[in-house]
Amino acid sequence: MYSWEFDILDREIGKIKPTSYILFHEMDARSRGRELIFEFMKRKLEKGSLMSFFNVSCPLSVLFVMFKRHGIEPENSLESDRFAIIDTFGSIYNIKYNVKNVWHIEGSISIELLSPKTAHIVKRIKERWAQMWNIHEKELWGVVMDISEYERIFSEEETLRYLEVAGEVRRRHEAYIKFPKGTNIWVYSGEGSRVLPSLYRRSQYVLRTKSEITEDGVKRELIVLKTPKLGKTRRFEYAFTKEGIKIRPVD
Amino acid sequence: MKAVELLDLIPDNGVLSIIERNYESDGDLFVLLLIKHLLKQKKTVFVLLYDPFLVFKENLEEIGVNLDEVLGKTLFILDIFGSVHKIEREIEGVYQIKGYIDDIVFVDKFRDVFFYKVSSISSEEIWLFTYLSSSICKLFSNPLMTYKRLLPVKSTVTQVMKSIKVIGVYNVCECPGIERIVYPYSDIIVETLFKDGRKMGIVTKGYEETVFELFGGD
Repeated sequence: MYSWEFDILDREIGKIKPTSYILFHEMDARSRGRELIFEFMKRKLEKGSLMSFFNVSCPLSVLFVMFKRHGIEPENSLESDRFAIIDTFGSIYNIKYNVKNVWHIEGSISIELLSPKTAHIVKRIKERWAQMWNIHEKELWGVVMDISEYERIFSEEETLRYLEVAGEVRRRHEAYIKFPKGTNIWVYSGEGSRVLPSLYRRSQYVLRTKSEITEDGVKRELIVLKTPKLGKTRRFEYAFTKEGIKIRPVD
Repeated sequence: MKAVELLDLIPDNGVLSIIERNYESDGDLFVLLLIKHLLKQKKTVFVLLYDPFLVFKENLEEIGVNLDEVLGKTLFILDIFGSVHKIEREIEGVYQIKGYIDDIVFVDKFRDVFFYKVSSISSEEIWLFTYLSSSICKLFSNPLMTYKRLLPVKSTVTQVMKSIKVIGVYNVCECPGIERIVYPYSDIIVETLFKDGRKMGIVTKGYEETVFELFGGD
Protein backbone atom coordinates (compact mmCIF):
# COMPACT_ATOMS: atom_id res chain seq x y z
CA MET A 1 0.00 0.00 0.00
CA TYR A 2 1.25 3.47 -0.88
CA SER A 3 1.21 6.59 1.20
CA TRP A 4 -0.78 9.73 0.32
CA GLU A 5 2.24 11.64 1.64
CA PHE A 6 -0.08 13.35 4.06
CA ASP A 7 -0.14 11.42 7.34
CA ILE A 8 -3.63 12.47 8.15
CA LEU A 9 -4.99 10.96 4.93
CA ASP A 10 -3.11 7.70 5.47
CA ARG A 11 -4.62 7.54 8.92
CA GLU A 12 -8.16 8.63 8.15
CA ILE A 13 -8.87 7.00 4.81
CA GLY A 14 -6.18 4.37 4.58
CA LYS A 15 -3.24 4.05 2.22
CA ILE A 16 -3.53 3.66 -1.52
CA LYS A 17 -3.92 0.34 -3.25
CA PRO A 18 -1.20 0.06 -5.91
CA THR A 19 -2.30 0.34 -9.56
CA SER A 20 -5.42 2.24 -8.56
CA TYR A 21 -6.88 5.11 -10.48
CA ILE A 22 -7.27 8.21 -8.40
CA LEU A 23 -9.53 10.94 -9.68
CA PHE A 24 -8.63 14.30 -8.22
CA HIS A 25 -11.41 16.74 -8.93
CA GLU A 26 -10.38 20.35 -8.45
CA MET A 27 -13.80 21.90 -8.55
CA ASP A 28 -12.65 25.51 -8.54
CA ALA A 29 -9.27 27.07 -9.11
CA ARG A 30 -9.35 29.00 -5.84
CA SER A 31 -9.35 25.73 -3.93
CA ARG A 32 -5.77 25.40 -5.24
CA GLY A 33 -6.33 21.67 -5.19
CA ARG A 34 -3.59 20.94 -7.66
CA GLU A 35 -1.09 22.33 -5.21
CA LEU A 36 -1.86 19.30 -3.07
CA ILE A 37 -0.85 17.22 -6.07
CA PHE A 38 2.32 19.27 -6.55
CA GLU A 39 3.17 18.66 -2.90
CA PHE A 40 2.41 14.97 -3.32
CA MET A 41 4.68 14.81 -6.38
CA LYS A 42 7.45 16.66 -4.59
CA ARG A 43 7.37 14.23 -1.67
CA LYS A 44 7.15 11.14 -3.86
CA LEU A 45 10.09 12.30 -5.96
CA GLU A 46 12.13 13.04 -2.86
CA LYS A 47 11.48 9.51 -1.69
CA GLY A 48 12.75 8.06 -4.93
CA SER A 49 9.48 7.05 -6.59
CA LEU A 50 9.38 6.91 -10.36
CA MET A 51 6.90 9.26 -11.91
CA SER A 52 5.65 10.21 -15.32
CA PHE A 53 3.71 13.41 -15.74
CA PHE A 54 1.34 13.94 -18.64
CA ASN A 55 1.27 17.62 -19.46
CA VAL A 56 -1.99 18.52 -21.15
CA SER A 57 -2.42 22.06 -19.88
CA CYS A 58 0.25 24.47 -20.98
CA PRO A 59 3.63 25.05 -22.59
CA LEU A 60 6.44 23.23 -20.81
CA SER A 61 8.17 26.44 -19.76
CA VAL A 62 4.97 27.58 -18.06
CA LEU A 63 4.65 24.20 -16.38
CA PHE A 64 8.21 24.53 -15.09
CA VAL A 65 7.38 27.91 -13.56
CA MET A 66 4.40 26.32 -11.83
CA PHE A 67 6.50 23.42 -10.57
CA LYS A 68 9.14 25.74 -9.16
CA ARG A 69 6.57 27.95 -7.47
CA HIS A 70 5.47 24.85 -5.59
CA GLY A 71 8.77 23.32 -4.60
CA ILE A 72 9.40 20.88 -7.42
CA GLU A 73 12.75 21.17 -9.18
CA PRO A 74 11.86 19.74 -12.58
CA GLU A 75 15.36 19.89 -14.05
CA ASN A 76 16.97 17.91 -11.22
CA SER A 77 14.23 15.33 -11.19
CA LEU A 78 14.33 14.87 -14.95
CA GLU A 79 18.10 14.66 -14.89
CA SER A 80 18.00 11.92 -12.25
CA ASP A 81 15.96 9.56 -14.48
CA ARG A 82 13.22 9.27 -11.90
CA PHE A 83 10.88 11.74 -13.51
CA ALA A 84 9.59 11.87 -17.06
CA ILE A 85 7.22 14.25 -18.76
CA ILE A 86 5.04 13.34 -21.69
CA ASP A 87 4.38 16.70 -23.23
CA THR A 88 1.04 16.23 -24.92
CA PHE A 89 0.34 19.94 -25.00
CA GLY A 90 3.64 20.78 -26.63
CA SER A 91 3.19 17.94 -29.11
CA ILE A 92 -0.25 19.07 -30.20
CA TYR A 93 0.66 22.72 -30.53
CA ASN A 94 4.18 22.12 -31.70
CA ILE A 95 5.91 23.96 -28.87
CA LYS A 96 8.71 21.53 -28.20
CA TYR A 97 11.66 21.76 -25.88
CA ASN A 98 14.72 19.59 -26.01
CA VAL A 99 15.03 18.52 -22.38
CA LYS A 100 16.19 15.16 -21.07
CA ASN A 101 13.32 12.81 -20.20
CA VAL A 102 10.74 15.05 -21.80
CA TRP A 103 8.88 13.08 -24.44
CA HIS A 104 6.86 14.29 -27.37
CA ILE A 105 4.32 12.50 -29.43
CA GLU A 106 5.70 12.43 -32.94
CA GLY A 107 3.76 12.89 -36.13
CA SER A 108 0.10 13.63 -36.48
CA ILE A 109 -2.00 13.60 -33.36
CA SER A 110 -5.60 12.63 -33.61
CA ILE A 111 -7.52 11.31 -30.70
CA GLU A 112 -7.27 7.81 -32.23
CA LEU A 113 -3.51 7.94 -32.47
CA LEU A 114 -2.97 9.55 -29.10
CA SER A 115 -3.53 6.37 -27.17
CA PRO A 116 -1.17 3.95 -28.98
CA LYS A 117 1.46 6.63 -29.32
CA THR A 118 1.29 7.45 -25.63
CA ALA A 119 1.46 3.77 -24.70
CA HIS A 120 4.56 3.44 -26.83
CA ILE A 121 6.21 6.32 -24.97
CA VAL A 122 5.23 4.82 -21.62
CA LYS A 123 6.92 1.62 -22.72
CA ARG A 124 10.12 3.47 -23.62
CA ILE A 125 10.08 5.28 -20.27
CA LYS A 126 9.63 2.04 -18.39
CA GLU A 127 12.40 0.39 -20.39
CA ARG A 128 14.69 3.19 -19.33
CA TRP A 129 13.59 2.91 -15.71
CA ALA A 130 14.11 -0.85 -15.82
CA GLN A 131 17.71 -0.29 -16.90
CA MET A 132 18.33 2.25 -14.18
CA TRP A 133 16.38 0.90 -11.25
CA ASN A 134 14.81 -2.15 -9.82
CA ILE A 135 11.37 -1.08 -10.91
CA HIS A 136 9.62 -3.92 -9.13
CA GLU A 137 10.65 -2.35 -5.86
CA LYS A 138 9.72 1.20 -6.76
CA GLU A 139 6.44 3.03 -6.61
CA LEU A 140 5.45 3.93 -10.15
CA TRP A 141 3.23 6.95 -10.54
CA GLY A 142 1.44 8.59 -13.41
CA VAL A 143 -0.06 12.05 -13.06
CA VAL A 144 -2.25 13.57 -15.75
CA MET A 145 -2.78 17.32 -15.47
CA ASP A 146 -5.31 17.95 -16.45
CA ILE A 147 -7.74 15.68 -18.15
CA SER A 148 -10.45 18.30 -18.61
CA GLU A 149 -8.18 20.05 -21.10
CA TYR A 150 -8.80 17.20 -23.56
CA GLU A 151 -12.41 18.34 -23.82
CA ARG A 152 -11.22 21.71 -25.01
CA ILE A 153 -8.50 20.42 -27.31
CA PHE A 154 -10.68 17.76 -28.87
CA SER A 155 -14.36 17.56 -27.92
CA GLU A 156 -16.37 16.03 -25.16
CA GLU A 157 -17.44 13.23 -27.47
CA GLU A 158 -13.94 12.42 -28.61
CA THR A 159 -12.54 12.68 -25.11
CA LEU A 160 -15.04 10.15 -23.87
CA ARG A 161 -14.13 7.79 -26.66
CA TYR A 162 -10.46 8.26 -25.90
CA LEU A 163 -10.87 7.56 -22.21
CA GLU A 164 -13.32 4.70 -22.53
CA VAL A 165 -12.49 2.80 -25.70
CA ALA A 166 -8.80 3.52 -25.89
CA GLY A 167 -8.53 3.01 -22.15
CA GLU A 168 -9.76 -0.54 -22.54
CA VAL A 169 -7.44 -1.38 -25.38
CA ARG A 170 -4.37 0.40 -24.08
CA ARG A 171 -3.91 -1.86 -21.11
CA ARG A 172 -3.17 -4.69 -23.53
CA HIS A 173 -0.11 -2.82 -24.70
CA GLU A 174 3.30 -4.19 -23.82
CA ALA A 175 3.94 -1.10 -21.69
CA TYR A 176 1.44 -2.40 -19.18
CA ILE A 177 2.02 -6.15 -19.54
CA LYS A 178 5.75 -6.50 -19.83
CA PHE A 179 6.37 -3.90 -17.13
CA PRO A 180 4.66 -3.25 -13.82
CA LYS A 181 1.59 -1.03 -13.93
CA GLY A 182 1.71 2.34 -12.29
CA THR A 183 -0.72 4.03 -9.96
CA ASN A 184 -2.42 6.94 -11.62
CA ILE A 185 -3.77 10.30 -10.65
CA TRP A 186 -6.12 12.08 -13.00
CA VAL A 187 -6.57 15.72 -12.23
CA TYR A 188 -9.86 17.07 -13.53
CA SER A 189 -10.77 20.71 -13.07
CA GLY A 190 -14.04 22.56 -13.23
CA GLU A 191 -17.63 21.54 -13.17
CA GLY A 192 -18.09 18.15 -14.68
CA SER A 193 -19.78 17.28 -17.92
CA ARG A 194 -20.18 13.77 -19.27
CA VAL A 195 -16.51 13.03 -18.97
CA LEU A 196 -16.38 13.44 -15.22
CA PRO A 197 -18.92 10.70 -14.35
CA SER A 198 -17.13 8.32 -16.67
CA LEU A 199 -13.83 8.98 -14.91
CA TYR A 200 -15.58 8.71 -11.58
CA ARG A 201 -16.82 5.20 -12.31
CA ARG A 202 -13.42 4.05 -13.47
CA SER A 203 -11.61 5.35 -10.38
CA GLN A 204 -11.07 3.54 -7.12
CA TYR A 205 -10.41 6.76 -5.25
CA VAL A 206 -12.11 10.09 -5.83
CA LEU A 207 -11.02 13.24 -4.03
CA ARG A 208 -12.59 16.62 -4.58
CA THR A 209 -11.42 20.08 -3.58
CA LYS A 210 -13.58 23.18 -3.44
CA SER A 211 -13.52 26.55 -1.78
CA GLU A 212 -15.75 29.36 -0.69
CA ILE A 213 -15.22 32.85 0.57
CA THR A 214 -16.52 33.37 4.07
CA GLU A 215 -16.40 36.18 6.62
CA ASP A 216 -13.01 34.91 7.79
CA GLY A 217 -11.46 34.52 4.38
CA VAL A 218 -11.19 31.48 2.20
CA LYS A 219 -12.46 28.13 3.40
CA ARG A 220 -11.08 25.15 1.53
CA GLU A 221 -12.48 21.67 1.70
CA LEU A 222 -11.20 18.29 0.60
CA ILE A 223 -13.86 15.64 0.26
CA VAL A 224 -12.98 12.01 -0.15
CA LEU A 225 -15.93 10.78 -2.17
CA LYS A 226 -14.90 7.27 -3.00
CA THR A 227 -12.42 4.71 -1.72
CA PRO A 228 -12.34 0.91 -1.89
CA LYS A 229 -14.07 1.03 1.49
CA LEU A 230 -17.53 1.53 0.05
CA GLY A 231 -19.94 4.05 1.35
CA LYS A 232 -17.57 5.98 3.50
CA THR A 233 -17.00 9.63 2.68
CA ARG A 234 -14.78 11.95 4.64
CA ARG A 235 -14.41 15.70 4.76
CA PHE A 236 -11.29 17.67 5.54
CA GLU A 237 -10.42 21.33 5.72
CA TYR A 238 -7.05 22.47 4.50
CA ALA A 239 -5.06 25.66 4.48
CA PHE A 240 -1.85 26.94 2.92
CA THR A 241 0.34 28.35 5.66
CA LYS A 242 3.91 29.50 5.97
CA GLU A 243 4.72 26.10 7.45
CA GLY A 244 3.13 24.30 4.53
CA ILE A 245 -0.18 22.64 3.83
CA LYS A 246 -2.30 21.88 6.88
CA ILE A 247 -5.11 19.35 6.61
CA ARG A 248 -7.56 18.61 9.39
CA PRO A 249 -10.67 16.46 9.50
CA VAL A 250 -14.13 17.99 9.71
CA ASP A 251 -16.79 16.19 11.80
CA MET B 1 -3.92 46.08 3.79
CA LYS B 2 -3.36 48.96 1.42
CA ALA B 3 -3.02 48.60 -2.31
CA VAL B 4 0.58 49.68 -2.30
CA GLU B 5 1.58 47.10 0.29
CA LEU B 6 0.68 44.47 -2.25
CA LEU B 7 3.29 45.82 -4.63
CA ASP B 8 6.04 45.25 -2.09
CA LEU B 9 5.05 41.61 -1.78
CA ILE B 10 5.78 40.77 -5.40
CA PRO B 11 9.18 39.08 -5.72
CA ASP B 12 11.56 39.81 -8.60
CA ASN B 13 10.14 38.28 -11.77
CA GLY B 14 7.03 37.43 -9.81
CA VAL B 15 3.39 37.49 -10.74
CA LEU B 16 0.46 39.09 -8.95
CA SER B 17 -2.97 38.31 -10.31
CA ILE B 18 -6.14 40.18 -9.53
CA ILE B 19 -9.16 38.03 -10.19
CA GLU B 20 -12.45 39.86 -10.45
CA ARG B 21 -15.02 37.41 -9.18
CA ASN B 22 -17.71 39.82 -10.30
CA TYR B 23 -17.23 42.91 -12.43
CA GLU B 24 -19.05 45.17 -9.95
CA SER B 25 -16.10 44.76 -7.61
CA ASP B 26 -14.05 47.19 -9.75
CA GLY B 27 -10.91 45.09 -9.57
CA ASP B 28 -9.79 46.77 -12.78
CA LEU B 29 -9.93 50.20 -11.13
CA PHE B 30 -7.95 48.81 -8.23
CA VAL B 31 -5.28 47.84 -10.74
CA LEU B 32 -5.32 51.31 -12.26
CA LEU B 33 -4.61 52.69 -8.78
CA LEU B 34 -1.56 50.46 -8.64
CA ILE B 35 -0.43 51.82 -11.99
CA LYS B 36 -0.99 55.36 -10.77
CA HIS B 37 1.08 54.70 -7.69
CA LEU B 38 3.96 53.22 -9.68
CA LEU B 39 3.94 56.07 -12.17
CA LYS B 40 4.14 58.52 -9.28
CA GLN B 41 7.24 56.66 -8.10
CA LYS B 42 8.71 57.10 -11.61
CA LYS B 43 8.67 53.35 -12.17
CA THR B 44 8.50 51.95 -15.68
CA VAL B 45 5.10 50.55 -16.51
CA PHE B 46 4.29 48.52 -19.59
CA VAL B 47 0.64 47.72 -20.30
CA LEU B 48 -0.67 44.96 -22.53
CA LEU B 49 -3.97 46.45 -23.57
CA TYR B 50 -6.68 44.02 -24.56
CA ASP B 51 -9.45 46.58 -24.12
CA PRO B 52 -10.20 49.74 -26.09
CA PHE B 53 -7.50 52.36 -25.64
CA LEU B 54 -9.96 55.12 -24.85
CA VAL B 55 -11.55 53.13 -22.03
CA PHE B 56 -8.16 52.63 -20.47
CA LYS B 57 -7.11 56.22 -21.02
CA GLU B 58 -10.28 57.77 -19.66
CA ASN B 59 -10.37 55.53 -16.63
CA LEU B 60 -6.77 56.35 -15.85
CA GLU B 61 -7.39 60.07 -16.29
CA GLU B 62 -10.44 59.80 -14.10
CA ILE B 63 -8.24 58.76 -11.18
CA GLY B 64 -5.83 61.60 -11.82
CA VAL B 65 -3.14 60.36 -14.19
CA ASN B 66 -2.19 62.71 -16.99
CA LEU B 67 -1.32 60.33 -19.80
CA ASP B 68 0.45 62.93 -21.92
CA GLU B 69 3.00 63.46 -19.18
CA VAL B 70 3.98 59.83 -18.88
CA LEU B 71 3.34 58.12 -22.21
CA GLY B 72 6.56 57.20 -23.94
CA LYS B 73 8.54 58.20 -20.85
CA THR B 74 7.57 55.87 -18.04
CA LEU B 75 4.37 54.41 -19.43
CA PHE B 76 4.32 52.19 -22.51
CA ILE B 77 1.32 50.51 -24.02
CA LEU B 78 1.03 47.65 -26.44
CA ASP B 79 -2.38 48.23 -27.99
CA ILE B 80 -3.52 44.72 -28.76
CA PHE B 81 -7.16 45.68 -29.08
CA GLY B 82 -6.33 48.29 -31.70
CA SER B 83 -3.94 45.91 -33.45
CA VAL B 84 -6.54 43.18 -33.85
CA HIS B 85 -9.23 45.63 -34.96
CA LYS B 86 -6.86 47.67 -37.14
CA ILE B 87 -7.54 50.95 -35.37
CA GLU B 88 -4.37 52.78 -36.21
CA ARG B 89 -2.91 55.30 -33.80
CA GLU B 90 0.11 57.52 -33.89
CA ILE B 91 0.74 58.20 -30.22
CA GLU B 92 4.14 58.20 -28.62
CA GLY B 93 4.56 55.26 -26.30
CA VAL B 94 1.64 53.34 -27.79
CA TYR B 95 2.68 50.42 -29.96
CA GLN B 96 0.76 48.17 -32.24
CA ILE B 97 1.28 44.91 -34.05
CA LYS B 98 0.95 45.54 -37.74
CA GLY B 99 -0.45 43.51 -40.56
CA TYR B 100 -2.38 40.31 -40.66
CA ILE B 101 -3.22 38.76 -37.31
CA ASP B 102 -4.69 35.43 -36.35
CA ASP B 103 -4.14 33.43 -33.17
CA ILE B 104 -0.91 31.80 -34.27
CA VAL B 105 0.58 34.74 -36.15
CA PHE B 106 -0.25 37.00 -33.26
CA VAL B 107 1.89 35.11 -30.75
CA ASP B 108 4.90 35.16 -33.08
CA LYS B 109 4.54 38.86 -33.84
CA PHE B 110 3.85 39.65 -30.22
CA ARG B 111 7.07 37.94 -29.16
CA ASP B 112 9.11 40.08 -31.56
CA VAL B 113 7.40 43.39 -30.89
CA PHE B 114 7.29 42.96 -27.14
CA PHE B 115 10.92 41.95 -26.89
CA TYR B 116 12.03 44.75 -29.18
CA LYS B 117 10.09 47.44 -27.35
CA VAL B 118 11.10 46.27 -23.89
CA SER B 119 14.75 46.07 -24.95
CA SER B 120 14.64 49.71 -25.96
CA ILE B 121 13.47 50.85 -22.53
CA SER B 122 16.33 52.12 -20.40
CA SER B 123 15.33 50.69 -17.08
CA GLU B 124 16.44 47.74 -15.04
CA GLU B 125 12.99 46.82 -13.92
CA ILE B 126 9.60 46.97 -15.54
CA TRP B 127 6.13 46.46 -14.24
CA LEU B 128 4.04 44.63 -16.76
CA PHE B 129 0.27 45.04 -16.50
CA THR B 130 -2.57 43.55 -18.44
CA TYR B 131 -5.84 45.40 -18.96
CA LEU B 132 -7.62 43.02 -18.89
CA SER B 133 -6.27 39.57 -19.57
CA SER B 134 -9.78 38.22 -19.77
CA SER B 135 -10.55 40.44 -22.74
CA ILE B 136 -8.34 38.16 -24.79
CA CYS B 137 -11.49 36.06 -25.05
CA LYS B 138 -13.10 38.80 -27.13
CA LEU B 139 -10.22 39.08 -29.56
CA PHE B 140 -9.23 35.60 -30.65
CA SER B 141 -10.90 32.48 -31.92
CA ASN B 142 -8.94 30.23 -29.60
CA PRO B 143 -8.19 32.61 -26.75
CA LEU B 144 -7.15 30.10 -24.11
CA MET B 145 -4.53 28.66 -26.37
CA THR B 146 -3.33 32.09 -27.38
CA TYR B 147 -3.09 33.12 -23.75
CA LYS B 148 -1.10 30.04 -22.81
CA ARG B 149 1.29 30.59 -25.68
CA LEU B 150 1.82 34.20 -24.65
CA LEU B 151 2.93 33.33 -21.12
CA PRO B 152 6.43 32.07 -21.98
CA VAL B 153 7.18 35.34 -23.77
CA LYS B 154 7.50 37.08 -20.44
CA SER B 155 10.60 35.10 -19.54
CA THR B 156 12.43 36.16 -22.73
CA VAL B 157 12.55 39.67 -21.28
CA THR B 158 14.76 38.59 -18.42
CA GLN B 159 17.60 38.53 -20.94
CA VAL B 160 17.49 42.31 -21.10
CA MET B 161 15.88 43.27 -17.79
CA LYS B 162 16.91 42.62 -14.23
CA SER B 163 13.36 42.10 -13.19
CA ILE B 164 9.92 42.05 -14.72
CA LYS B 165 7.04 42.07 -12.29
CA VAL B 166 3.70 41.12 -13.70
CA ILE B 167 0.29 42.26 -12.54
CA GLY B 168 -2.58 40.76 -14.44
CA VAL B 169 -6.26 41.43 -13.98
CA TYR B 170 -8.99 39.03 -15.05
CA ASN B 171 -12.70 39.11 -15.01
CA VAL B 172 -13.75 35.51 -14.49
CA CYS B 173 -17.14 35.82 -16.21
CA GLU B 174 -15.68 37.14 -19.44
CA CYS B 175 -13.11 34.42 -19.88
CA PRO B 176 -13.66 31.31 -17.83
CA GLY B 177 -10.88 28.80 -18.13
CA ILE B 178 -7.92 31.11 -17.78
CA GLU B 179 -8.26 30.85 -14.03
CA ARG B 180 -6.99 27.29 -14.05
CA ILE B 181 -3.68 28.55 -15.35
CA VAL B 182 -3.62 31.80 -13.40
CA TYR B 183 -3.81 30.14 -10.01
CA PRO B 184 -0.80 27.83 -10.26
CA TYR B 185 1.14 30.39 -12.32
CA SER B 186 0.88 33.29 -9.88
CA ASP B 187 2.88 34.03 -6.75
CA ILE B 188 0.13 36.12 -5.22
CA ILE B 189 -3.56 36.22 -5.94
CA VAL B 190 -6.15 38.72 -4.84
CA GLU B 191 -9.76 38.08 -5.65
CA THR B 192 -12.06 41.06 -5.78
CA LEU B 193 -15.65 40.70 -4.79
CA PHE B 194 -18.75 42.87 -4.62
CA LYS B 195 -20.94 41.56 -1.85
CA ASP B 196 -23.46 43.15 0.50
CA GLY B 197 -22.68 46.56 -0.91
CA ARG B 198 -18.95 46.25 -0.19
CA LYS B 199 -16.07 46.08 -2.61
CA MET B 200 -13.58 43.73 -1.09
CA GLY B 201 -10.24 42.22 -1.84
CA ILE B 202 -9.27 38.81 -0.53
CA VAL B 203 -5.77 37.49 -0.69
CA THR B 204 -6.22 33.85 -1.67
CA LYS B 205 -2.65 32.88 -2.44
CA GLY B 206 0.89 33.77 -1.55
CA TYR B 207 0.30 35.76 1.58
CA GLU B 208 -1.80 35.80 4.70
CA GLU B 209 -5.36 35.34 3.54
CA THR B 210 -6.75 38.67 4.64
CA VAL B 211 -9.95 40.38 3.58
CA PHE B 212 -9.67 44.11 2.99
CA GLU B 213 -11.62 47.06 1.60
CA LEU B 214 -10.45 47.58 -1.98
CA PHE B 215 -10.78 51.32 -1.93
CA GLY B 216 -10.18 51.95 1.72
CA GLY B 217 -8.36 55.18 2.25
CA ASP B 218 -5.67 54.90 -0.38
